[in-house]
Amino acid sequence: MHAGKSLLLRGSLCLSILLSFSTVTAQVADQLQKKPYKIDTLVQSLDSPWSLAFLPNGDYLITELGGKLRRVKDGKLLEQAINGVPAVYYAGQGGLFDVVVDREFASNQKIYLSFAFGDANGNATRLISARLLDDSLVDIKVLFTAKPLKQTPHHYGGRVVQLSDGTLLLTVGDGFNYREQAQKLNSHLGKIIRINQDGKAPADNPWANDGNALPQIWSIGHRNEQALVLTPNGIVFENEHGPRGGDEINIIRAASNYGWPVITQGIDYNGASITPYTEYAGMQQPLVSWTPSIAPAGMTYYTGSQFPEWQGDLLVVSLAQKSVRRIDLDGESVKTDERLFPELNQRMRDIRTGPDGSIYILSDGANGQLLRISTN
Amino acid sequence: MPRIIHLALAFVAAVVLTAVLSSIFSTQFVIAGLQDLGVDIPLRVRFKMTLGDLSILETLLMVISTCFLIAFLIAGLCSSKLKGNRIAWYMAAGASAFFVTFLVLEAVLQLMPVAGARTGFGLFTQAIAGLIGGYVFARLTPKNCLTPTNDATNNASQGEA
Repeated sequence: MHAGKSLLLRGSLCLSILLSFSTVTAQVADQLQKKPYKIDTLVQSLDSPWSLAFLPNGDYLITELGGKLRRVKDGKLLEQAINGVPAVYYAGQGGLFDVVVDREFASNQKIYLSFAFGDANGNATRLISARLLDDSLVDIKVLFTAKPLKQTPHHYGGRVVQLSDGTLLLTVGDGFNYREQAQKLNSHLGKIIRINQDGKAPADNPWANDGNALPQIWSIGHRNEQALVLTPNGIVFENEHGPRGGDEINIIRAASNYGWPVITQGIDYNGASITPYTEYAGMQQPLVSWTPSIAPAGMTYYTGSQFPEWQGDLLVVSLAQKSVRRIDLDGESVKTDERLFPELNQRMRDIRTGPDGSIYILSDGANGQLLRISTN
Repeated sequence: MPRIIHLALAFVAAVVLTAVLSSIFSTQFVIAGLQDLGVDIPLRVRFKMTLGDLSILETLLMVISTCFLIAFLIAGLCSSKLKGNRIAWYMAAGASAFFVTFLVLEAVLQLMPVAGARTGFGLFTQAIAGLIGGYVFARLTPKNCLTPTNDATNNASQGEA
């Protein structure tokens, strides 16, 4: 009788331990499965959104490729687009590109817009400045128009960043059919250019005093730039599409030659060679190269507080691979390149770090969305 | 040899030769563009790149087959109905086929898909490849080969090469 009772007790104890263990195991599994972040859809029904900027009052500005500049106020997309945006050449890859808020916006209300200007017979990447008063652009000034004009609606570049000295960097693509011009100093195609806020070329630009070169040129040898990012310590990162393969992230330095079309890891879309070389004297190697192509688009240097383990890393969205990639940086070298947020399996156009440390993403296409990723 | 087999072999020969020439011509223009930038391309590198670019033959063969099929049918019809020099008809058809195809592709894609045809002279050399293709097809096939009313009497009376 006593022995039977003891057996029952021991059995109950084992069962309790087993149950407790399975409960703990389930809790641990739950914890592991629970994502440390959440993804909120803030805005929907954007028509091919391209770029996102944050205003000091908490509003967002979003460009749509077709030529509209939209405002998001209190989390809601305003029905009425901003008035006064100049007509853009909306064809192929052309349209309204980047919007950048001036460092002194609170006092000057100035923003910068880049877009495709012209028509099928002659078009170019153009940069303007304007003051944003209420929901209208005023005091519009054309700061820069790339030359020569081209006849293809492709490879515009159009990303803008304002350096700490107030000057502006603008990417200008090679126009696809004009790739050799990326190496020529008498053409803006395939370059990154630097101008003052009044549109003039700064006197300390690398070719400012070369009579045979365009004075705005800052770096050469680019193909189809998609992003331009300035870090707090002054490093400029750029990414660009290669042809078939050879997508790149580069560290941009004045007077540097990034090689296109003399060096590339990619080949032409029809399979032919662009060049026999992947390296050549005087030409920079990319920091990151993707072959096959992922078609990188927007990029941000993460400095936010919500994901401290990613501070100082580049986050890149892609169109073809439909991914968000984290480039884990150690200064100016790459430690790892990994994919984040696998559930975001869609073409994405832009990614930004918000003032609140959240990550903001614009999806690509006719029904574009503004997504916010923040900690749970 | 049955006429259809004869025709098919001649067509394949013309298409393959044209595709090879098209690829070689395009590569030389790409290399010339790089040399114009001051890039050193030794003969060995040129040869290797030219050979390597023959990998695009698969794409070229599809495009050229389609455009030659239409062009040679029209050339055969013109040669039969309008008379004139039969070989010249096929050469003109081959060149025109290339020219039109590239222009249509450029209009649709809004870019030139073959790098060697981006300039007027480059496009001209591509048309030359088509012209040679037309010549080869005409030389390898009998007169009035594409018309159902082909007969020996008509051929003899036309007296064309």
